[in-house]
Amino acid sequence: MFSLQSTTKLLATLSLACLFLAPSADAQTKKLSDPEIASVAVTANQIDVNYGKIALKKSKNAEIRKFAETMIRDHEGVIKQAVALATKLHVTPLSNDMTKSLLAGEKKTTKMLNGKSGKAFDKAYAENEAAYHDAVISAIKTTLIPDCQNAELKELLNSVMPVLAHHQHMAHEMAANFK
Amino acid sequence: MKTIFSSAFSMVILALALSACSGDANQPSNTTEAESAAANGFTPAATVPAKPHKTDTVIIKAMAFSPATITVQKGDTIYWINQDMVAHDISQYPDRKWHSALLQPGDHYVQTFDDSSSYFCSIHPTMLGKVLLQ
Repeated sequence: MFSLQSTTKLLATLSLACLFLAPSADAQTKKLSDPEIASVAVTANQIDVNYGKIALKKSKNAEIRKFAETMIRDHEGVIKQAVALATKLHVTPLSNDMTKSLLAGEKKTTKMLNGKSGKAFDKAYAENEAAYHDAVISAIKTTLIPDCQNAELKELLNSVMPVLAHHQHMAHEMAANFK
Repeated sequence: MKTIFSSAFSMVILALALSACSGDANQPSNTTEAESAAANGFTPAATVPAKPHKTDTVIIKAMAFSPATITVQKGDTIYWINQDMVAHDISQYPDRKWHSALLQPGDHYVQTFDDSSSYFCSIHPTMLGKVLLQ
């Protein structure tokens, strides 16, 4: 049987994944263009940088702070490379339904995180990071990589996967420590 | 007739060559044995240097060190190059007794080893590597 806690967490994960994977009926059938993929990639990374900044502002926990610093450093590094590639390919990131869904999810999560403090915040941040990385990895695997047309952009998406998988592993370990 | 002339000519050349060699060897010399040996392209056994130190390369890519374990000889150097998407560091495991600065993508780090050592990336602690002394 699921506990209330694990059910809540599962629902949070699913709703996050739904925001990412099924923003609208149109988006389900319409493939993303490379400029749209660039927009999703940059936005998804920037959102996790923003969550990291909230954690540095609110948390005193050493593990949370170290993880947040890593998220900021790594995702800013990926953004830098994505922007450099988009510039080289003359691709201008184009906002789309998936980008908008991501931003709507960020707004909700930011409000939720800002409403917590102390251990409750640390727990919420850790769980959100685990769920967020689950959803991002799934979206890249099932949508961004298959839809991507440009070989260099596809290579960048493939290259970022081990980084995200590492973050996912660390986030789940961290979340388990706050149970 | 032609054969006899050819053989005689060869004998003269051989005799001259032998004479030249033995003459040089008997000349008094101011050079030391080592200098003489060096001049002839040899090095005395006592000063033979150890096997020249070599440099091995470890690539940092896809959140891993490749190769993850490397075997070197004492005094060899390892050259790490970060070809990954994100910044890493190279730190002695587990105490960071020695460590690199932050290596941005494209940066490298060089370290010489006189002993075996385990290392990791302190930013991404699941990234582990090992240097084994042969």
